[in-house]
Amino acid sequence: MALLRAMELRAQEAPDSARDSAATPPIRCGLIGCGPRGREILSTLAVLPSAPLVAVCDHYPASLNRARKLAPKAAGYDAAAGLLADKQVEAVIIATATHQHLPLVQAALKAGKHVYCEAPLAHTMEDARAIAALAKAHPRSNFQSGLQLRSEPQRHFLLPFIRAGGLGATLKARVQWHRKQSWRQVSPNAEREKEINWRLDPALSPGLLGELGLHQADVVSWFYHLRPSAVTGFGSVLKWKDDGRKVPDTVQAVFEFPGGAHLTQEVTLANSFDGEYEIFYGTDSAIMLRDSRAWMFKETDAPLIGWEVYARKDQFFGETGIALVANATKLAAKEEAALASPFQNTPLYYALEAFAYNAHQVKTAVEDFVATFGEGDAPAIAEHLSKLKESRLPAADAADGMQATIVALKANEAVLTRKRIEILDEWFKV
Amino acid sequence: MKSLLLLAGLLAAAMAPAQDTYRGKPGSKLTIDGDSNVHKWKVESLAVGGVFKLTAANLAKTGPVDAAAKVTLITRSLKSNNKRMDEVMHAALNADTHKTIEFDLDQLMVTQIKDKEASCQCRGTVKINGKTKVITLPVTILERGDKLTVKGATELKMTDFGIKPPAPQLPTGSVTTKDEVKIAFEWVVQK
Repeated sequence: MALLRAMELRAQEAPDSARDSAATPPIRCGLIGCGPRGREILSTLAVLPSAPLVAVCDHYPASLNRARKLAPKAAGYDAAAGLLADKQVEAVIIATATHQHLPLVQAALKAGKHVYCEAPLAHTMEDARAIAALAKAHPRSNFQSGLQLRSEPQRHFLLPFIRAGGLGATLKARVQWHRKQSWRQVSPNAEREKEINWRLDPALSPGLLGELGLHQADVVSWFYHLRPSAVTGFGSVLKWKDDGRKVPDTVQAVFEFPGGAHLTQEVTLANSFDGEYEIFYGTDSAIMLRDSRAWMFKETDAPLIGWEVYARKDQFFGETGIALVANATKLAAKEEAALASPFQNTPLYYALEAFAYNAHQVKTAVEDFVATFGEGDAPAIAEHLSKLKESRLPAADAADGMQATIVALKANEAVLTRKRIEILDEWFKV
Repeated sequence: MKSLLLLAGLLAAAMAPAQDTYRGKPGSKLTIDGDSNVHKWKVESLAVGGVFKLTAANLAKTGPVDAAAKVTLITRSLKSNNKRMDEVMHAALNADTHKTIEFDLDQLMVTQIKDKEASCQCRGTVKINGKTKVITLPVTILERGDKLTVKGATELKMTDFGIKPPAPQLPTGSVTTKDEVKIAFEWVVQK
């Protein structure tokens, strides 16, 4: 039986000593796709000095106007070609519908831009592989996949702890993403409504596991340093039946990893209970991640590590209860400071910060290479840049994005076909 | 008599093997190792370029070698793999103003030869942060096909180049960096 006391695992040093985006020379960014996700990116860029937004693009006038109101200094374009021809734009963030990513990535890389492509990279395995191949063929551009949790500092703090055997022998993982929301967007224009609801179109949608689940499933693969060998899935439309959708609103998947560990994933749009978390189980302990915080639950027979004796402990009963006691506000305020995560920004912020910084690193490294050795061919520059990889902030590259995308698309396929699908190594060779 | 001497000189020059021009290639690197009151630190650059002019055959015998070399390193290409440390280091080196670190060779003397590697003593002028200093240091030069690999190491003081040893403030307190640093390099050049 596990102890019912949880020890919070926190990075000891505030990350700001290593993260001062104001000191990073800025990389001028352009945003393609100004829907809800694009606007979230836009708001994040507004507080990130190293990534000034100089251009926005959306073919739908209302979305473009809304974005321009939020970023009045940015130039507006109704076609990607215009934004990509803008010499002011050094880096492009692609936040369009998933099935539109490939031609935009291709055009952006051809135009010599650094590219941040939202995850999943694509709605088909072929497109995901094509994007990874394009990124590889353009080493002068920094390509980042939008797997934002790969840049999140709390997870980077935990990674060596888990990899070093902090859990004991690896058993299994469980991840959950629960929200109550329909996924359907409304527009007075029927054609527009069809266009913006691509997530509900079975021909285009990567499903809940592809659009949402891939982030958490990727964290598990990343922590285990393994790719799943097979996936089985189940799913149904349970809550949002009235609009005639075919894309399940509630799904489960079981991923099998080499060595026998399993990941169980649950995603639903029908119930918000217990929100989202990742739990890693080992023979000595379990570790739970929620947002940017983490706790360890030790088994009674687990060896003493030492530091846990002095660590702060919280009681867990599955839910956070509101204490009805005198001085609750004062106590809560005090508790709040103690409970605050040292990482105050969102995973998206850290991902975009890494993108801007890494784009600057790639840009200057290429300039320095050319100034020192003359124009080199793509393999020579790629080799030079690969040696400088450690100087970058952590971020998901094209191979990471392709792997997470293909695994998630296969999980979605498993849900739709109710079959066990073996994940083949050959799919990931680019 | 004068014309005869001139002719002899011209003949000697014509018979002497011509100098080859070698240029810096990827595979080169320079590291700077330092210390502080907190921990040792290291920075590295892979952008070490420049030109080396000499007759490689002259490395096969001991004695002075007629050679010219200018090694150039782009200051901002020095990296520690730590974003904050890079910012502090580049600011200390005034990387925005003094974009390169340079070494100009004055003299090269082969002192020993083993296999195809020549141990040499060289003297030249190093320029960092816009300030120059003449230094001497031992190097080895290995010839392999049309490539030469020049290796060496020396110690320098930051203050000799007008650099104040960085003292960044961290959440855990201030850091004091030692003035002395060790430079080691491997310069790969090719004809």
